[in-house]
Amino acid sequence: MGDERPATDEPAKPANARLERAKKGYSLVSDIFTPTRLLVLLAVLILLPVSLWGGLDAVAETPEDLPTVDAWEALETNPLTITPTKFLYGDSINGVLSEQIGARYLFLAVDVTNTSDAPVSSTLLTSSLTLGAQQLKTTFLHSGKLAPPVAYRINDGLQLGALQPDVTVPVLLVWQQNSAVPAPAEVEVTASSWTWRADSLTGSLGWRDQTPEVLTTLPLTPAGDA
Amino acid sequence: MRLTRSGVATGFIVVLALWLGSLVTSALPDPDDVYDQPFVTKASVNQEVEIRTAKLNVTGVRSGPEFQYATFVDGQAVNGTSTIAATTAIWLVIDITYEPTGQTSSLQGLRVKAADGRLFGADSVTIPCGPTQPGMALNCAIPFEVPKDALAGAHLLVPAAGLVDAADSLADIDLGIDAAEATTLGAATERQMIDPKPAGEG
Repeated sequence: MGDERPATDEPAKPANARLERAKKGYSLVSDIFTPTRLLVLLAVLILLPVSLWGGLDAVAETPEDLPTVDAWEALETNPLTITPTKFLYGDSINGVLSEQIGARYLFLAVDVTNTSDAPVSSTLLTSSLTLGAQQLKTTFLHSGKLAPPVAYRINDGLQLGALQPDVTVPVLLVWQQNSAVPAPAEVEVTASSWTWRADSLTGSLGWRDQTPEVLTTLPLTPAGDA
Repeated sequence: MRLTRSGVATGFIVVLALWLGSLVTSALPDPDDVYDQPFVTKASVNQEVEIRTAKLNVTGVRSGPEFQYATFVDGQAVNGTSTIAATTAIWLVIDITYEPTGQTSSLQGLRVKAADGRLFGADSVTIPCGPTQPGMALNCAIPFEVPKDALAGAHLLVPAAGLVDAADSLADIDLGIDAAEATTLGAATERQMIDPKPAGEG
């Protein structure tokens, strides 16, 4: 046992010497590079390249590399196929939507087909479509770009209920827009897909994980010109 | 070791019994397969069926491109009560007598199941059936918006508590629609009238 002690003490000498030299060197600049300033410098060195490469930018709501289709072509998503047929703006619909001060309506008529094998809620459709127009709101006065529209069945004027498999339903989607904003000549429309899966907490099955799928740009015209 | 006839026969019988046992075991449902499945009671049109919460009897099927839901007096819809629904497909209207057995309740969560497995709900345009009291039967007509190719071989699923995939009592009623009947139903052009009434009234 006594032979082992010198063997363990020997390597410590150079390390202690290096530590002493480092302490001596730091003492020369310690009044400038205080521990707090060193931490700030480290944070700057991390955040600067991250921000230069866009890591601090807001997450884009519409990925720029989405596939696009021509106006009025079918938007193929999962589980809905949505074909725009008209896109108008106006002040009212007789007997259905009355004129409101300070707002105009945007009317997007679409043919919708549920391609799954079970009924799909109307909210899946209204959540699937996003308009790239300014100062939108629904007729229930929720504000924000992602405000879902109100949906009516065109053939009978009733509010849209469930969408049944393989039944094409003409639907009128209605947004409101602040009339102080000029009506755009064309609007970008993003359609999303969904995944049918069980909720990780409750186990209940449903359409989840909304993912932007396809993009189109539609000309917007006054309702009187339709 | 010397083989005897009785030894060979015994061996053969043991192997045969093991084979038969494996056949029986593979034919029996696995507990995991049925753990979350509904308890199905099968029936057909004009055959009363009882589920955990109600007695049911599908009395007929009809169809049309439109239905009108209203309170009718002498064949005329009472003002202010009417809803008219249209479709690009067909409304399959199922006449059903519904009688709760335990507590006041409504008929909910029905599905039409096509022969290929597609499910159709009664909530394209929701038409209520109930609530009604235990022992008081109600004659209802439930419209389903379906494509014409889903008519032949369709069944009606009626859950005890609103969910057809719950581990609960479920009626599976064969609507008796063969190919010829499906063609007739699919070609219907008349508007169908829907007016829930207590059983025994018009």
